[in-house]
Amino acid sequence: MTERPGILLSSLEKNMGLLAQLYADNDCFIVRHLEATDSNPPMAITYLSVLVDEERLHEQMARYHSIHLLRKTSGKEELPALEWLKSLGAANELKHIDEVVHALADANAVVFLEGDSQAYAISIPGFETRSIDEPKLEVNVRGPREGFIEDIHINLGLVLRRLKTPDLKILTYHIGKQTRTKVIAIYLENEAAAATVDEVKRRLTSIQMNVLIDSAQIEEWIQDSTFSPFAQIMNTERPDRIATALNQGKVAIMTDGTPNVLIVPTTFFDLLHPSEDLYERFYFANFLRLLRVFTFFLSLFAPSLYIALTTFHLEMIPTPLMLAFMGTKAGVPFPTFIEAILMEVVFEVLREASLRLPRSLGQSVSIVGALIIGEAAVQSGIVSRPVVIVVALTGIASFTIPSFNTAISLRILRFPIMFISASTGVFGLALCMFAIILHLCSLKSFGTLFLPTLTSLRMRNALEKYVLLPTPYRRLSKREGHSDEKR
Amino acid sequence: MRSVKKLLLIGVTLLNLVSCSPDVREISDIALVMITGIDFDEQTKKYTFTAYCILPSTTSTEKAGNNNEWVASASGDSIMEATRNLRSRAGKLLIWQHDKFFIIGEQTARHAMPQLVDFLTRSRDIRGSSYLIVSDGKVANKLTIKGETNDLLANELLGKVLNERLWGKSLSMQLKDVTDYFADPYRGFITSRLTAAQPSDKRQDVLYLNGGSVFNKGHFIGWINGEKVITVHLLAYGRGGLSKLEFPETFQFEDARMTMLLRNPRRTLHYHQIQGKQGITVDLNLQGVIIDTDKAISLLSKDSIAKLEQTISAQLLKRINRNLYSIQKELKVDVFGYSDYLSKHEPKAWRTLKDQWGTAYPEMPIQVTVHVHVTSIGMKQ
Repeated sequence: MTERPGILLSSLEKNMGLLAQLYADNDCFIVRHLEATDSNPPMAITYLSVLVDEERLHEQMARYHSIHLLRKTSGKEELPALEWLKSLGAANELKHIDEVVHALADANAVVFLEGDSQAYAISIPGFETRSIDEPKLEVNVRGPREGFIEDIHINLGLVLRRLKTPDLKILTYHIGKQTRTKVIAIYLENEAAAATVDEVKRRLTSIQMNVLIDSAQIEEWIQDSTFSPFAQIMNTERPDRIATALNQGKVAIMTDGTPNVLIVPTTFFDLLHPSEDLYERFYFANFLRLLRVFTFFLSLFAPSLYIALTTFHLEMIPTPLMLAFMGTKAGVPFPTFIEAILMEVVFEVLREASLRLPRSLGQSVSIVGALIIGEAAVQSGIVSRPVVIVVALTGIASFTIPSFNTAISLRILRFPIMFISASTGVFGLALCMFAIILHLCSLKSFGTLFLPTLTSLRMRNALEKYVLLPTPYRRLSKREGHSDEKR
Repeated sequence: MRSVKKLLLIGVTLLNLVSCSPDVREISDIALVMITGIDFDEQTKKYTFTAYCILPSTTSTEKAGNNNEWVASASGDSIMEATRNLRSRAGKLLIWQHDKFFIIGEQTARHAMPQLVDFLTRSRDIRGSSYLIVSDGKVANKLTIKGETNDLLANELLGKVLNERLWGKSLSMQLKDVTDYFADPYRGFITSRLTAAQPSDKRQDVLYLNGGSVFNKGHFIGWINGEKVITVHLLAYGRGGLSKLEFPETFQFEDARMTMLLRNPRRTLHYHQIQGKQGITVDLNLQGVIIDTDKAISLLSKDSIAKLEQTISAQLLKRINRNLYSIQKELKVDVFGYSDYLSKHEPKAWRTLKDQWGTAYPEMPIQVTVHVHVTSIGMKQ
């Protein structure tokens, strides 16, 4: 029988030699030899010093010695070393050098015994993580304040604590040749459609990359349309949101090392509704939903509409408003389109600047920028007041979109629409709106329509996607799988 | 790569479109025409076109709303030529889409109505909702009269039109209705009359809307006073009169003189035999509110109120009949739109009447019944 290269041998010396070769020039790699005693063969414990809790390891080694002493009085047959390993709990048996390497990288201490062709991995993680905090981006007035952190195990715990059912299935993947980042897909077996789960499995296994740091990289790989300006996968930092989504038959994809968890399949309205909707009275929640649809259109079309109306369709502006516009526009050297583009760019610059600066400074920059530049530009007659108002309104409207990546796509789309409406007026604007709606209707997310249409067979099914029904009319679970919106 | 090239091409095309689009009208380059005056000189056959414009103030740094008024006239052999000649004086692009008033001089109304209405309805820039008003004498000198308040003249004039429903003595017709009635060979119409006069408390002239100008078969017939305009409001069929009208009337009740505010006229028309001849009955219902009396009158019982209602209804009927006689028998113009009523509701009768409407209308018995329902005698008894 020929040996597969890299398979562990029963010689401790040879195994150690192999590891020493792999981990040459790595100062973190530590090997501790324990000499043979009368009942024990020689042992070696290997680990990466920064990943492993060394203090705990020392305690366990001290325990090993005491077991060894106790052993002298009792008359058991089993090797005391093995007995000790079993008492540590999760001791995985490793047969191949690759498994050893992965175990070491995963904060394990790996124990080798002379004469044993297996190694034993003991998980003693000893690296620091951030404590659980309130998410900075998704802030709620009411509802849980916990947010995910970078450690996938803690994140998983946060979700498991909320869903106490054996239906919860957890699939683990390792993605990234270099990073071997742990990626976990979670779903509720009785809620999620089998086709969706299969699709998630297929897409996750097809990912090929060297370094996986953030879930955004997974998103790029598994999204349906790469070139669409719209984000098609929702991400969240809130465990409560994951719990709700899983109950709606969705699949959550967690990535180690990032607090952002992906939820698939995603619909357009998922991106427009924050989790807080469920914690408010339904009147108010629906009012907010309506408001957000309005601000969605506002942040996409407001500057374009202003440009189109003031340069092409003067008859559409009521006379008193027209007089007010005329009063402010006089003497401004630029065409309205240039004015609007100028202010939009300034606004984007301010937004970027306030984001990159330290938080305390960022606020003052945005205030200084908005107030002083805006006022000075108006005072010196470079831009007119309505443009400043429209641009500010657009900016503020885009902040009401709960999903940051949707807000970004609106920011990007605004510019070409401004161009088109500056050249063809409301006609072009209507065409743009039509094109965007068509595009949204053509998008799919894991087999589900991205923009749920009202053509669903059952009226309530369709209605539920747009409005939050009062509790007596709400169903326990909403299955958004392939059942009734298949194409 | 090909898609990138395509995108770039689209981008460049759009950029060109942005800068070269011929339809772009920047707000800073326009002058809003808010009142247009059109005069016609019968002798020289020349049109004078007067535009009352609002120009944006020179800089936007001044306080917002500081717009300048500008009135300019130009003459030409046709209306179009006159408007184009006006452009030689205008420093801005004139925009007609916000024009609320077309005021025509008496001469224009008498001699050039067909051309004028045609001109006003052909252009897409001119709104059908703007008002057509006939001016005493020439318009050109009236548009230079400053508004009494510091507001724009156009706004003041609009306010006057909106106030019509509170006194009823003028009736401004919208351009769309004018064109509609203008083409009608059977009915006439009235629109309000603009006069300039010096009020007792002012040194300079002020513009008034009072009374009406009567048109029949596309020609200006003459003026009627405010009393008659109220009668038109009350008796007209369809859109001819305002339904939310209110107007004061003074009556004699017992030995007291009282003023009542009459409102919400409701009229129902019937076509039937009256004294052996086919005629129209107009049942007019109004609500009345007592405003003041010069002597105390007792209105405590239902009977006394009924008596009051009877008395004032009879007095109002008398006035209406007097005005009706003058319009029907003397002017012989169907400003009430009864031809419309007959053609819609009595098509059989209309078929025989149609050809001789010009003679049949003045002879047709029109019987008016008035019922004033006193809804409130005020807070005092």
